[in-house]
Amino acid sequence: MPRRRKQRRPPVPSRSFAEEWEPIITTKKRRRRRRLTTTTETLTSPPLPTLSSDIVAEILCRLPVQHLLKLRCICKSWKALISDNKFIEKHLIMSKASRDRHHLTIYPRIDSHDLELWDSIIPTVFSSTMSSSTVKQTRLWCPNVFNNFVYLCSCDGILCFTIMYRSVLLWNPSIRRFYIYPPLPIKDERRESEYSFGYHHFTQSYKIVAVTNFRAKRKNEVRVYTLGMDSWRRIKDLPYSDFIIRPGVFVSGTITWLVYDATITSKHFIISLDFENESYQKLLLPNVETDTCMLGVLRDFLCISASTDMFVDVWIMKEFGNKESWTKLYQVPYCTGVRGLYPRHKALYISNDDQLLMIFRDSRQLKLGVYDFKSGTFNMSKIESFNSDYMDPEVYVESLISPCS
Amino acid sequence: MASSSSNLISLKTSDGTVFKVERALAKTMKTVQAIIEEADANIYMIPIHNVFSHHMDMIIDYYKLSVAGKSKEFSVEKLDNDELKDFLLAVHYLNMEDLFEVLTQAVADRLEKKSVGYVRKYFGIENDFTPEEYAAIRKKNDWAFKGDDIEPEEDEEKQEE
Repeated sequence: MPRRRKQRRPPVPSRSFAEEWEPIITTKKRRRRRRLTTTTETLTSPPLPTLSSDIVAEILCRLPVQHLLKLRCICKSWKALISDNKFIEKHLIMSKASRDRHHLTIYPRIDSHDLELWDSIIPTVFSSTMSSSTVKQTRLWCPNVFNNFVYLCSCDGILCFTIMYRSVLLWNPSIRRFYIYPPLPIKDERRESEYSFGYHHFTQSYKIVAVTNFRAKRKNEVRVYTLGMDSWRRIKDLPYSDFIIRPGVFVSGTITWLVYDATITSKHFIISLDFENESYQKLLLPNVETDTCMLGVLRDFLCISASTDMFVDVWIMKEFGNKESWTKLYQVPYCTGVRGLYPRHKALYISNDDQLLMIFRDSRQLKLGVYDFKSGTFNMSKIESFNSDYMDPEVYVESLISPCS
Repeated sequence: MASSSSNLISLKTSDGTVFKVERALAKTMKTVQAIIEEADANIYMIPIHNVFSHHMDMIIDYYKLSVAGKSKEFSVEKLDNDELKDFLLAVHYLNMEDLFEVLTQAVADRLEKKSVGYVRKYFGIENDFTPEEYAAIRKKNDWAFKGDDIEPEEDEEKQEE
């Protein structure tokens, strides 16, 4: 059989090797092949080769943000790598897939105080709750700005705060950077606005959405601020005239709000703003027997937590926009008990092995619960040492993304 | 001699050992798969440089566990840092996606919360900042160096002496 020499295409881009091989014909004499220079013959040879930059990036993107900020001082190329947009994107993808990089943050709404956030990582929340012990939290460093923060939403590790129903602050607690955005170009300063935050995949940009209520005119004006631009741009008014209490959630390329139709149906429904064509869609809730619902996001699906006396039903919309795709995921056995304040029970986060983290708020208590569908177990715990009226807790992911314009 | 129609592929490591592995395992090695696909002739033996027999032993262990659905039981705890790095390079060379992810995660787990000095030594990297530049970067993210579970930096340790 004739021998053939073949030029082999390097299968691994980062390691090109010009070596050829040929089938071994049974001869006693072996041909000496040219070996790669960056190999070691035995374990006892002197120093191992330096890991290539693509391997370094694969390792670093799995580290927590605090550690990466320290590692910026290793050398110039590492500093450049950690600030590189592609690396930051890769790190975000890894963070989103890892329970260890998710945090639960809550803050007591005490009107006259400065912003005070308390934080714990999700694995701690799960383990404390599963063992029914108090969840310990550490106080987060917060931007030293004026007080009276109201509602909070988040996307890709950036927290979006509405300040005094007027302006908006974006803050990434993992990198400790924040930015207060310019106020809306609205003449009457008494107008109340609420802000939501999300990511537009097509233009690869983050957007803040401001909804400002004009009660007398029975309308809500909507403006969008794209990070990187420097102004608010007005878009179509919201197809809803009452004041929207809670910020929208970012899901499936949209900002989505839960609103209440007081006039006609006396029911909740959903309005969704699509970043792509800046148009609105009205969506109906699943067939729930209760009016006490909270909107959220679970693993990139729109989620409704519907509370009755005996249960909290957790629904997800498997196909965004399709009412028929509402699916009841779990029925969590939580009794609201004595009818106190409006219960605000909400599904917050679901782990890779399908353990569901929920918060339960009724009267003045805040409790956490972990529901494990596979084993049918349900454990609860309390947040330590708080006795005030909490705003809705938020789960955020660690990221290196800058909140600045 | 194994013919190309058999289910076994012969792989020869750098230290001369020949492993007969299932075709399915060879398929997880993209480097090897590319060689097989490119060759017209029957393949008798594929040399895999940069890969030693102790690497192949671990690769076969991982493969057996993942076929049985137990890939989470695979552990590299017994390897020291250099051995892990060495294994990572071998798996990277062979272009085995899943095992590469497992190993990069293992390295990341070992480096988490370690000091900058430790990481620098592990990767064998020289500090190419001037003292002023280094001080400026440290100062900017000084808070990141503090924490109960964070290993203190060498220079901080020295100051305490």
